[in-house]
Amino acid sequence: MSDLLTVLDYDFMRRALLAAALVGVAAPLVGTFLVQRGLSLVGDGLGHVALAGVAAGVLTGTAPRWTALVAAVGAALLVEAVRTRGRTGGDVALAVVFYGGIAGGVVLMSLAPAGTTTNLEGYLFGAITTTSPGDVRVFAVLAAVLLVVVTVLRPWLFAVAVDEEHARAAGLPTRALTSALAVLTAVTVVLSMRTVGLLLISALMVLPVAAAQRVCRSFGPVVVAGSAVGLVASVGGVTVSAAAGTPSGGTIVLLALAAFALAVLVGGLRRRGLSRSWAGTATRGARP
Amino acid sequence: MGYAGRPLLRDVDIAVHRCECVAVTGANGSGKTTLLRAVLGAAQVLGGSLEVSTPRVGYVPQRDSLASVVPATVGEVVAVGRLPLTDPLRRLRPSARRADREAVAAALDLVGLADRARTPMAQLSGGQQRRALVARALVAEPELLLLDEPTAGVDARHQRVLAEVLDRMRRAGVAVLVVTHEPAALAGAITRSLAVADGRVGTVAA
Repeated sequence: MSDLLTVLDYDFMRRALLAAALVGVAAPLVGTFLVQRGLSLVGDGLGHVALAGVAAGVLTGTAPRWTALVAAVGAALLVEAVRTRGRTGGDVALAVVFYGGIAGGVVLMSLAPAGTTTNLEGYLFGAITTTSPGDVRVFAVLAAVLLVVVTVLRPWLFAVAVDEEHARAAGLPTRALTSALAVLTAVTVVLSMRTVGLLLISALMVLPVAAAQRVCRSFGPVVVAGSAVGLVASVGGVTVSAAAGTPSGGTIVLLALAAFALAVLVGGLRRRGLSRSWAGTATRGARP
Repeated sequence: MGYAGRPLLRDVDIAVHRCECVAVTGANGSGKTTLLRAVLGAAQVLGGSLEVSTPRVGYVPQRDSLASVVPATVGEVVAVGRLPLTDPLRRLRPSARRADREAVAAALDLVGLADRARTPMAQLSGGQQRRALVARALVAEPELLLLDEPTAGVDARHQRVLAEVLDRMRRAGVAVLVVTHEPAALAGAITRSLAVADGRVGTVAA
């Protein structure tokens, strides 16, 4: 325990924990709506494209987080446009965008002048202990924007996620809402790339939501519980990885998986308990 | 009217007015739903014009169930119907949120689901889910109500309840257009019937 507490003695660990907390709360907020719309893996695809943005930043000497954000937002809006136009082979178009992104990113990285620090592995798998004070400020602003927008628009995002046809018929601005969700997803991907890396970002957006929906009966609690699980997995994962010397990104995702497994168990026990209660009631009712 | 430039319905010359409940009948694939979707703007009007004189449209889609990947309760789904009447600023007011809750409760009571507001949609039967979708359309306080097969999977007792609800809406000034294979189930509300056949819409004699 004392080893775990000593991690707080270091500035870089305090920044890492704060960044993890921000990402852990924000990612499942957006993930809830992606899961509801059957788009659980779109974060993974946008992560691929963000890598091309990172490479462009490295080559041009621009802060990679901003070029990654531009690339991810552009790809998110393109993917949404392809989806809403309903062109045949839409999934093929998505594959072209996503795999073109990661392939382009790897090739662009290789073109960096000799001696340029690319830190490709850090972007792919996360490098949260390298979070700078400037990074924390940017993360805080992005997370705050995500939190405010999702909170304000939650009912409308829910309407589109549950039944887009009805939302459109009711006169809701479905195209603007789905585009807003696409942009929020891109922002979340870039926010999370330092924490869990571009290859694992979908896990942090989806697994806490998957855990929450096993134990919650309604949408509102799933949103809150998903963020709570994400917070515990992220902060816990960074802490455990510091103590155990394991990669932070993978540790965070494994903790989120453990939370999902626990939720499956708890949910199953609750349903079995409810079933026995109903069976007992039916049996008592059947007695003469 | 049709899709991708291909007409499915021709020579459509109909009007639905306030205080009317117009039933649209016809064989499967005849174009009944296309007529409804054209009013919603989801099918193309390839010639002539279509005018909808009110933005307050309630819609009950033809759907066997509203499967929700993330759990959603009946109350949460029905509350979606209030969104056209609200905005983020209005929702900050407690009085507005209370009015929305009361409207949802009243609509659920009308369709016989008053005790199911906190039940996950996935736990309802197909007919109960259809009634929840009717409630979602009712809370929007529509001036035009479009329903696509609202009685499918609904038991006889609740079909009668639905007919009473539609008749009450009609008498209150709502224009109702309902696509149905079971016009007899809604006979108590229907004031006029149209039949779709061979790509054309005709009036059914009373």
